[in-house]
Amino acid sequence: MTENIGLLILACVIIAAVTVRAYRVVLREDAWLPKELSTAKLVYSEQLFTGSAEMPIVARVDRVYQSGGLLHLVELKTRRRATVYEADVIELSAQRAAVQASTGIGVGLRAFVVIENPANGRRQVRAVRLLEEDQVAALMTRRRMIIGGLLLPQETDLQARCASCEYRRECKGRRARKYTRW
Amino acid sequence: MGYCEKKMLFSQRFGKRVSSERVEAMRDGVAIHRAFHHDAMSVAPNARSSEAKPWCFIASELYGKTAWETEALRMGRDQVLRQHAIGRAFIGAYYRHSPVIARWLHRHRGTRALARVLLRPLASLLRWCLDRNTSAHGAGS
Repeated sequence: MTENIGLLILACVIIAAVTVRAYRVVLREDAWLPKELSTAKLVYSEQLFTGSAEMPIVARVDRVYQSGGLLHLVELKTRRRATVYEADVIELSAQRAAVQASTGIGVGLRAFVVIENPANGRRQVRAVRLLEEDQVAALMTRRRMIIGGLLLPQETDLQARCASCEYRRECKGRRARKYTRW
Repeated sequence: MGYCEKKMLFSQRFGKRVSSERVEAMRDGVAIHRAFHHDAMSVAPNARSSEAKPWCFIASELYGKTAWETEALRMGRDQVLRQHAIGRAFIGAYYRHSPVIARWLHRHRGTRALARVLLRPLASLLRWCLDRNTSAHGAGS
């Protein structure tokens, strides 16, 4: 009898722990999920997509939601400040092209960047407007031309990036020269 | 692109370089992404993923990530369990609790050896069934 009561209590504790854990996940998701995605269905998580022959992009997408016949991209970033950079928009735009080519379903031009602060685990979301496919194609062409030596690359406007850049020794830029004087 | 075109060019020319601070940040990023994916699979167990199935925690712990047993159990999950509502519910529960069980197995060598022996017949059966299914489809086409 005592054993049965013990087992029953253990079962109750396990069920309670599982319920609390599941509830916490739901709460954590609700805390950042934007209104636009609150009724959307999560269809992909950490999925690899391959673009078309014209746009050979391979992209791993953090999350894809589906709502009203359209797919919506969500990208997770870990940063101390909830800032979205141009590189995030380019990355998501390339992902958009790959997802569209791979699934044949339209992907919304509005995407979301979830920024998690590694210090406190707080997630904040920022909506971004993505580049059109022709703009992505133009960027790809530019990249190819820079690598092929047909175009001169531009350096970043953010000085802090130069200071922490792993290539500052090789870089011939004005700012990089300053940082190579050690 | 986006951050600095020169950096993009140098990484192509001299290979990718990562500073120790960046390695640390990337390690944090991977852990946070894993938790984000885990949350996704908890709220939507039917969501598709090409992630290297990190939550085949128990099989990976018992046999290793690339072992045939792990692969057979993984295929069984995708081709058998995922096809039915009850199976999908089981997968959802498995995703939630398997990391804890795997960690526990990691600490208990004896139980791990026993679980390895007990799960192997299931893995063998799944492999046999799936091989048979594949060859039947191959012959049919």
